[in-house]
Amino acid sequence: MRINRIKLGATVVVAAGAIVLSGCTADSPGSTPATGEPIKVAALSGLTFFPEAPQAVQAVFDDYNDAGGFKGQPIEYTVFDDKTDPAVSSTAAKDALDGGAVALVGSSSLLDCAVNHTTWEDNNIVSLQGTGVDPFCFSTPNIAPANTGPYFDTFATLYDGSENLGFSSICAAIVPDDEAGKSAYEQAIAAWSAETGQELAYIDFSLTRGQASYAGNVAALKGEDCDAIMVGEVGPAVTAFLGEAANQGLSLPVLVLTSCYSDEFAAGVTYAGDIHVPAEFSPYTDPNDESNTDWAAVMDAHAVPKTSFAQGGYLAAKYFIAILETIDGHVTRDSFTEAARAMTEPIENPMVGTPWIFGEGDSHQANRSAWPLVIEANTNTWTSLGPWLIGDDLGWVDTTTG
Amino acid sequence: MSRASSARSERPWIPLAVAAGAIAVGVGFAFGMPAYVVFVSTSVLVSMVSLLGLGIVTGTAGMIALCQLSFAAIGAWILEFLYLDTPLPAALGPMAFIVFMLIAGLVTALLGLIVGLPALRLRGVNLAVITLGVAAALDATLQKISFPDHGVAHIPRPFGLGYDPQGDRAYFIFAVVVTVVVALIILAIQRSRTGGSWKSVAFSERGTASAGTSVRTAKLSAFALSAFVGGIAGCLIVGQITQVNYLTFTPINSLGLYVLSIVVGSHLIDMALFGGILFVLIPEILKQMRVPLEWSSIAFGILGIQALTTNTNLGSTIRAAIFRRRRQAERQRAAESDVTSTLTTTTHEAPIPAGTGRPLLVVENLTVEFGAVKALTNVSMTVEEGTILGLIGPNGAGKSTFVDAIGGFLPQHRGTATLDGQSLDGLPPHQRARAGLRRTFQQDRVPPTMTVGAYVRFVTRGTADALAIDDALAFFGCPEASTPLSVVDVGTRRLVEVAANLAARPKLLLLDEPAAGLSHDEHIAFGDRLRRAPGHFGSTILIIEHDLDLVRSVCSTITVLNFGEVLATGDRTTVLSNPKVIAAYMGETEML
Amino acid sequence: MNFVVALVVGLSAGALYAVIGVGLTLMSVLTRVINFSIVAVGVFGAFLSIRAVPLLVQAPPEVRTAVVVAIAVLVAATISGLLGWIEATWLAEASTTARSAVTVASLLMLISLSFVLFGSRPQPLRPLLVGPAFVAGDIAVTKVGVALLITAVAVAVAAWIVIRRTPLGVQLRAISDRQTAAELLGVNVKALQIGVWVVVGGIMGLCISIIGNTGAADATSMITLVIPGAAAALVGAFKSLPMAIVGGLLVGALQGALTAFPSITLLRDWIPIVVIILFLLWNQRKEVWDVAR
Repeated sequence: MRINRIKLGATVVVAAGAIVLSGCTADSPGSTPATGEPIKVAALSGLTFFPEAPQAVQAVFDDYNDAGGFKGQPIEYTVFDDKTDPAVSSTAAKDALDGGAVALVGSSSLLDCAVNHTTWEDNNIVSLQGTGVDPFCFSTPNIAPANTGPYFDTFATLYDGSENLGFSSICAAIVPDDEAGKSAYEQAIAAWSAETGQELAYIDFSLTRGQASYAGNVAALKGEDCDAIMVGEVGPAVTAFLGEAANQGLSLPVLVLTSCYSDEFAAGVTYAGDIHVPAEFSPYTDPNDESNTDWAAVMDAHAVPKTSFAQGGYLAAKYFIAILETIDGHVTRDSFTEAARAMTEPIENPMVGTPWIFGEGDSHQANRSAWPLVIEANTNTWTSLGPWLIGDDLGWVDTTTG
Repeated sequence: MSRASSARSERPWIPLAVAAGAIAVGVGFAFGMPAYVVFVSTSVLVSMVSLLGLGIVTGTAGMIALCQLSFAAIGAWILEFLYLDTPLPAALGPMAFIVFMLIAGLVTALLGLIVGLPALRLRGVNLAVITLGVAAALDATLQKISFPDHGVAHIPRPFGLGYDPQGDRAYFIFAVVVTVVVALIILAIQRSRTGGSWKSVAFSERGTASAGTSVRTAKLSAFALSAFVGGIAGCLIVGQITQVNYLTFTPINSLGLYVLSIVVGSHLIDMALFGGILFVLIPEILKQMRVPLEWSSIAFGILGIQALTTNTNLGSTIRAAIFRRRRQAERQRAAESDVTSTLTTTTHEAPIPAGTGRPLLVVENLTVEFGAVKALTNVSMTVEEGTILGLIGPNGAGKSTFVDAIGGFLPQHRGTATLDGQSLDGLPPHQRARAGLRRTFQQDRVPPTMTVGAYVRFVTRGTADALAIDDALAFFGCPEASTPLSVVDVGTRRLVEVAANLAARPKLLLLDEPAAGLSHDEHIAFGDRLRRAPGHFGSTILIIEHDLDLVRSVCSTITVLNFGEVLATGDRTTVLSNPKVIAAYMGETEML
Repeated sequence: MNFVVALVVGLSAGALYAVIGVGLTLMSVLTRVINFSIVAVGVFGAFLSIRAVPLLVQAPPEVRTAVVVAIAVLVAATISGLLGWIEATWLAEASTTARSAVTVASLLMLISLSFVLFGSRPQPLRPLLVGPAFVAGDIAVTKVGVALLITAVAVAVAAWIVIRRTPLGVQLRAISDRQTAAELLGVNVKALQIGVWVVVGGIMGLCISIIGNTGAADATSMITLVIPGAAAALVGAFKSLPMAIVGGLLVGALQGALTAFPSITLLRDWIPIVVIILFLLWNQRKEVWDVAR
């Protein structure tokens, strides 16, 4: 029996340590001028992958509550960690619904949409995704992300490469995640081919998440006749990929996706070629940029790291408030969903190139714009290039329709 | 006293009653708790089934397997495949899920068998590395081929249950029934001879084989059943979540499960069930406190190190405490009724048994070489039925090598051996044991994870009933059948080993220094029992012994080995007075 | 793709497995443990060391690099030493399996901690060495590969010299063969064993600093390099240092060579483990029983 007590003791110690170390994820108590019945909203995020997305949402809501909330009602925000595991994610979805959330705001996850989109539909609740990744974020009726997603991103990256930067023989290495992801990428690539008449010189879909070495993939690329390489992975993996490429003596220009746009990526990368990215939001690293002024002020005031995930969370929260303020009566799950669907006027924000709307429709991809930036060879800072690449101008049509 | 203890272990209705009670509680829980709690609690059941499966290989059979969730992934994948890519669901209707679950379990068991194959030669941590490698390779493969659902649709639940709160409640009951059935099946198998073979193989492969059980079958059956249960767990996850991906089954999660298995001692069924609760409850508490879920793995890691450094797990700690209390209570009762045990006293001294005159074991020209060293050279020997033959000789004379060779553990030897007219040549040890040739070991080969009675039942391969077991134990003055072997001292364990092997009523029993570690008085008592053993059990005995007093008091015939050759053989007085024998023993302290 | 190119590239990756394999073998021989946390402590050392960079902005780049690497080695050695202390204090008499199981538990902890501490954001862990050491046509041998192979061989040779040729080696052999006897002879077993943990931990810290963020995507993926590393050590049955190096190169070469055949991308993940299992089954074909007698 003694042993039990020791074990319980150990658990408590660990748990206590956990609270101390992580004391920034949850609702911060304090004086809230809005004191009415709280409006409950939730998010399902991979807290280890996107920690600052829900923090950014919380920052916006805190300011909103301090300013009186919605007719005196504060917004109560709850974040669930989905651990990037479908089992945990679907459990968390039930938890969020059980807790009475009226909407999901700023969820940032690799798989939330795929796992839970039917749950949202069954329960008539909408999700204003902060950073959506899997194809179901852009092809289902109850989810509308603030970001552009990897498929438009792929299209814009390739378009920028072939049309603006003039590469004629682009090779690609992409992590497909699964069959659905792979076909979504293939459709985006096909859309680019249809629009520009270009073909990829070589494509490697054999990458996996958490790969221990990219030596084989890089060696395979070297054997092809490429004038630029597109790498479809997240920032840390691209860093490793480019490190291996540098080790094998490569210095071709590289085209990467928007998730690489962060200061940490620029600081960590070691590569002797240009690295191009079209960012899904306006470039916050650009000292001349003014579109991010309010965002930067809010993030600084609440000590939230400034990243593109924080931009996505901030925008999702702003969009939520905009829809909320169109509701006349009681704020419920049904009334909010109805208000979102009833949207006809899109919301303008200088942080994105295209205005955002939920509205009717069985799929939502309001953000169809990207801002080109570059890390020049052997440097570690972002240089803003611009101007906006707008989906409609590039000939982008939604490719991920189920 | 002994009869009471046997009766206690034979109440088969208890598990069934507990099972029925568990299902009743499950039904009450499903309708009495909030929908979310019921849904989360389904994860508890899934973890319980996973731990039950892992407990078979890692706990009971003592092999480290770090790929339990890989089995779950395979089961889940097959279930999804059968649902989405075959025409079977329409044909099977509401029973589809259960049929698919069984198919998935069986296919997974087959793959488990393949993963288990290296375990026949690779042991301990080598096996751990390989299972981890398999887990990593499967993880990469699943990323590339992905699950058949493609994240598109909900996989249907059994009996057309929906993916709403009502469906969640009903599915919880379904999962409770599956968990209870799995637990009952595992309990039954653990109490069967197969379960005994797992516990035995965990402690000693040689001991297992010489009890007439194939080591290969024991190991592979453990892997196969463990994989089967793993596959079932995977199907349960699919039914709960209705879609999965590779991240549900990552090698890290398998590691976490393994560590948890160490903490609770998941070979014990109640502890596997408790572990399932911990596996879900700790992350759930963290979630309610808005702490990133990774901290739960850190907690499990600390608990695992704590359990390992103190060499305990919750299950055995609790069991040991219960046993001590029961022991105390019994002792108190015994003291009150003032009954003293008379088991070790004997009324009269038995004579040295005389044989039937029929040759039982005939060994001819047995030669064993280890490289250039000849351990045995042309040893020929005959053991007469019904006698006790003493095999003596100085250290290194080849006595134990002889027993190993006759027992089948040295297949490279030359020469022939026949037992009761049946040739033993080429037979592996477990088949020799089944042919009626048993042996005991110098080293402790009695698995401490069993009770005395279960061990005897295992060694006799089920041929001895409770009465025969109690009789054999009483014959040698061993602890009662319900005593855990873990509390029995090593010397007494050797007696239990001898009693168990005689209870199997072999034609010939080879005893390798059975009395080492016994006191002088115990020696005398042991010698007396041994003399009566051939008559009592109908077995012939060959005994290796250093204590010449014991040899002199029990053996009618003695064979002396020296430098791997027969130095002398014949009746005991002739042999012991042989000058060559005395010369060979010069300097050996036991002589005279 | 050219088969030879793929093979050479694979050998470069195999050099890392070789170092890990040598470390694992060394620990197995000297401290009776298969240390599943061996890479994890190195990763922790390296990833924590870059937290010191902001304090060193004034220092010249060479000094900064040297300090950061020294911190990485120290931190890794400390964590490893802590694990060794746990083993030597509470599990001195325990079986190899129990001792190794502790490192499985600590591996689980370190992986989870790495999620908490490092997340999956890019870490500015710049590698010590970048670029090819020499190039011939399409074939490039990386500096990292050469450096790690040299490290593996140097560690193996140094270990051999220390164990076979010095008084310390006599003591080390004594504690691995006959621990109780060594204690009776007055050898400080605990200190020696912890010493082995510290040294191997430090070596891993150095190796991870050399690779930097050019190997795997994040800390967790890097920690899982222990799996091919252990596969390398398995080739030498956790006993032979030269065979561990051979094993590492073999696993790397197999993985590399197989990338030349894109059509078998699924088999690529399985062939190394299957080859090793087959090799071991052949090598251990006489190990029919768990004990010799």
